Amino acid sequence: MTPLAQYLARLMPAWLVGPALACAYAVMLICVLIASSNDAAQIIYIDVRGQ
Amino acid sequence: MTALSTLVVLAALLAVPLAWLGRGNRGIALVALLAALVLAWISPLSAVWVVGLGALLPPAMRLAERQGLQSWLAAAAAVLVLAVFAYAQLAPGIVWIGGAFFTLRQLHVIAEWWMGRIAAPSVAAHLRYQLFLPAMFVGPVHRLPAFERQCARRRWDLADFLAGAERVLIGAFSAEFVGNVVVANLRAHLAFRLSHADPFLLDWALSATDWVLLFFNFAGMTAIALGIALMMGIRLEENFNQPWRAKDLLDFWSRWHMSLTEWCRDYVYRPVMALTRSTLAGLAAAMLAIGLWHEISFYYVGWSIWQSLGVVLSRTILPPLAAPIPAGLRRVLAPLAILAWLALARPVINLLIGMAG
Repeated sequence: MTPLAQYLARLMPAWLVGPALACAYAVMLICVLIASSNDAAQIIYIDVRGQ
Repeated sequence: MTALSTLVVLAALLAVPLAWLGRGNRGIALVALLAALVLAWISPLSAVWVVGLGALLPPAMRLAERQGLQSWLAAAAAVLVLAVFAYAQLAPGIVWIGGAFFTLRQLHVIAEWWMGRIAAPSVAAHLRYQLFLPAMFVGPVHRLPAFERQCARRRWDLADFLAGAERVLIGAFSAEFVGNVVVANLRAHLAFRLSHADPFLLDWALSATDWVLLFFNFAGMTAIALGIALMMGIRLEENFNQPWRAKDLLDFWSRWHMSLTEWCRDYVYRPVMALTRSTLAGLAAAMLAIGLWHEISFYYVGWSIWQSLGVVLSRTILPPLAAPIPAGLRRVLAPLAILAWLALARPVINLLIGMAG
């Protein structure tokens, strides 16, 4: 079980963990894909500054 | 993420199947080869420096051991590494990628060898360590002995692989969505609402939101690096330990970018303290190293003084002032006070630089 699955297992019945995990992954993935179209500012800690 | 950050993350993900093409060290050697190619593509100068020093340093160490010249080589190599770091930061037009992190790794290897804590690594082991793609551009500043143990012991484990993949997704969500969308929009909203406010207060408020944005962005990118490393069977050092639960500024710095602060504790704070017998001198030197690591500028010298002052105040004047406050309320107020202090650095230093200039 992944850490998120273990966390969800503490909050809900076992049969609900799989669907909840799939929903959580899908929501995060969609948010990342939508957000990735934004042009983000470079932060100092990601050291690709020279470009 | 910028286009280049995305490229680097995708290259690191591409390295995961490479890592499992060979068992133990051999798979990680393939990852190092890919890292060298990626680095050569986006910054040939960085690639020449990392690979060149990575290949030359171990034989030079063994030669120095035979001649009894360890101290000379360690001093010369450390000066050279620091000079290249400073030159690359200050010289305009130089494309320098990952230097902030590989400089610390190079100094770590030199210092540990000079102190006799590690033997001179083999060229292959040194290159595997310096060119570990997931951690090259965003850290953490992992340590050679722990990394070598991880490489030697790694075995395929589906649970670890899935946990790593999950961490990559959560890290991307944190950096891309929470940081770059949610907090960035809140910041823009705040800037609009406070557009008529005093410029100093406006900068203070925006600086506070920048710290929050920085946390989600940097912690997210670090989670991606740690997750990809775990997918390769390697557990790297953690970089954050719930910094929002810090009790004071010193506690905050032991929870924020931990691999950098631990590096400065081991290689700056302790030696300076041992030489001067002064905690304050050690603290000031460590904060100066952290500041100049970010950027060699007057701003970051001022930033270091500000952080040192904050730590001193939080350990001397603040405890008696905070004593009457109930413990529960103190736990709530402490992170807010820390954020206010961290954020206040920018408007204060800019004001002082403006007055001086």
